[in-house]
Amino acid sequence: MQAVDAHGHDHAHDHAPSGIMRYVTTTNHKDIGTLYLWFSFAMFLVGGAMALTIRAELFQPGLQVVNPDFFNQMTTLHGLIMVFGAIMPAFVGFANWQIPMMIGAPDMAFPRMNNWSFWLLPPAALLLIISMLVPGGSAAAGWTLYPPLTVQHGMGMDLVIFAIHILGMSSIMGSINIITTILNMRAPGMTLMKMPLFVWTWLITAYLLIAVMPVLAGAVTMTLTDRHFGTHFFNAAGGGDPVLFQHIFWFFGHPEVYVIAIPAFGVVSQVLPAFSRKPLFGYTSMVYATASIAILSFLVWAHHMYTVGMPVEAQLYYMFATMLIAVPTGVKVFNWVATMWKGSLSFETPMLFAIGFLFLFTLGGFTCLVLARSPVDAQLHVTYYLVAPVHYVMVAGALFAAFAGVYFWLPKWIGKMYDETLGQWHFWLSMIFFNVTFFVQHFLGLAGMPRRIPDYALQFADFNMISSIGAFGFGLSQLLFLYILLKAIRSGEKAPERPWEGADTLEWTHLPTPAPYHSFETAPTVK
Amino acid sequence: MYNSEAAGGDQLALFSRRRYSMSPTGRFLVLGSLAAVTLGISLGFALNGAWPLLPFAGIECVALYLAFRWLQRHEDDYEFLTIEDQSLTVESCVGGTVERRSLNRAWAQVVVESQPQGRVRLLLRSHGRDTEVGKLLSNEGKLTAAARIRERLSARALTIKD
Repeated sequence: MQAVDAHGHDHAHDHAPSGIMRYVTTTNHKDIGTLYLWFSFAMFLVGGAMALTIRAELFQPGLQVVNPDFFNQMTTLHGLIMVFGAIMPAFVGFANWQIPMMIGAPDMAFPRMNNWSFWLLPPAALLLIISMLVPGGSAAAGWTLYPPLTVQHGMGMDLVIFAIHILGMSSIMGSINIITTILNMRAPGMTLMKMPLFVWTWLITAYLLIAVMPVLAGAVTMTLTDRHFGTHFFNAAGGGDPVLFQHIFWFFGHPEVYVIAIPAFGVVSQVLPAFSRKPLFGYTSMVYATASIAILSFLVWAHHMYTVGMPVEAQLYYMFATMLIAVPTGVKVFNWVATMWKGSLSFETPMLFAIGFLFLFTLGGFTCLVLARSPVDAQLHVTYYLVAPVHYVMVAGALFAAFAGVYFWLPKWIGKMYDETLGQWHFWLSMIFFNVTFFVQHFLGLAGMPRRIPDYALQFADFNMISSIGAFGFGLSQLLFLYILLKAIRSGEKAPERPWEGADTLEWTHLPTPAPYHSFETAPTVK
Repeated sequence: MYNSEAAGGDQLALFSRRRYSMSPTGRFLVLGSLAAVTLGISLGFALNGAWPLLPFAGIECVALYLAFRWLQRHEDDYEFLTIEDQSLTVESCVGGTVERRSLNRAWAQVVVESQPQGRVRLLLRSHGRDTEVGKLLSNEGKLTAAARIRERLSARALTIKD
């Protein structure tokens, strides 16, 4: 009888494996979270470069930098890459890192599927990018991919459709994983109403994704069959209905806005209490408000389509239903403010970005609400007045929340602190340049400048110049973010066990800093 | 996952199984609600002419069903390892299939292997054949189990030697 100890196992579980294959074959939720986050940042830079191309062309009237068709490709790919390649994967990265640690689970429910979910993304991104290189160029119909333009484009459109299918598969697999992880792998005592709000927001987001992804897949498949297989779903010349595409697209597209916004709500709901040193105000109402927003998001899609022609009764319904969303959103904003009220506030970088989110997202929400009214929308539809609030919600909303999340959890992830001074610089530069870029676009829209045009009338020149200067400033500010990250990883100061004294979720209270490669293999008991 | 251990003299019983936080009813409700919403939306559009949404909704529902089915099949997974008298027995249930292997206690070896991704693998080796045990345990749990099993096997060896 003998006991054999092979390969010196004593500390094997303390060390993460190394090398490239670690990331190719990994099933570890932390590795996959890291992959998602870096991928999303890379796509953010690609999409950002496209945005700067757009703003360079719009710096002054006339055509200077690119031709109109390439300009249209830029607006299309910028939207698709930022939505599907940058923002969504960023929050999936947060979900991968944080959900298991926040609910006391050792990993995601389906780790191999998790690996697949990520590795589908790079080929899809590649397809989107190389679609610019094929004859005829990429899709140039805007990220909404409206027919008849999409039926007429060259093969770049096919690549975009294929990319969207792959991205959709990735989203569905990720959503199944998130739902099963949250519902099935919670630690003893971690009841649903004890879950951190970030986890709740992702549970609701995953439900939304499961519900709407087949809709998008069907829409682009019908576009594909119209293009190549002689069908006429959307081709009016063959008896099809282009407006049907708009209904289908926006049935996906409006919840998609919340797919991006709701996880951002979750991040902010973790950060604000931590730096207010108070529990989140109105936790239960936050959960119900988030669920209400998600449900209402299915009922308002046609407010994107007022100008295609619809009965007055329908316009009234969509108008009131849309304004109804302001109620649960208002509950959330009230609760965030009430969380800070009489709190012991400190203003480290995550808190600054969270407050920036709160201020600008609310502003964007209000200006979006203006468009909910159909008579106003009829005037402002497809003008720069639409571009501005969309970016207040997507950039100042989702992106600022993502920055807040990265600065907040970075010490837990890598065990090192970022440079606080540079972090504050990053915030203030982003805040200032963001508003320089987009606030003036409200005025451009109100003055009647249409969106998605490479040239414009002379009266719009000054505001466009200001907006372009702001855009380049904002873009350069994000290179500072990259520097801050690399500096923290290479030479950051060692993070204390609990760098944020107000943070009280499981990853802060039950795990060392940095979080070990395998965490919660034995579930904690939550009281 | 939770584990229980009973030991006495040179005998040992180790039991391990996964712990899930979703009840079978909860699983049914979640799957049912997701499928109803997805298929309902697609059916609505199909009735308005956009029938190609249906296959995608169907595929998604199948994927959801397979995921939940996998969870259901593995909710009763367990492993029961006993050491008594002359034998070491491992009974495991994976996906509803129960397997049992008995080893001669005198010939059993405990092998702990490092795996990629920082994992640890616990094997019982006898007559050139390996049986993996402790699949439901954490790395820490496997190392602890390995120590316990070794302890019992050694105790018996000393008794025989004496």
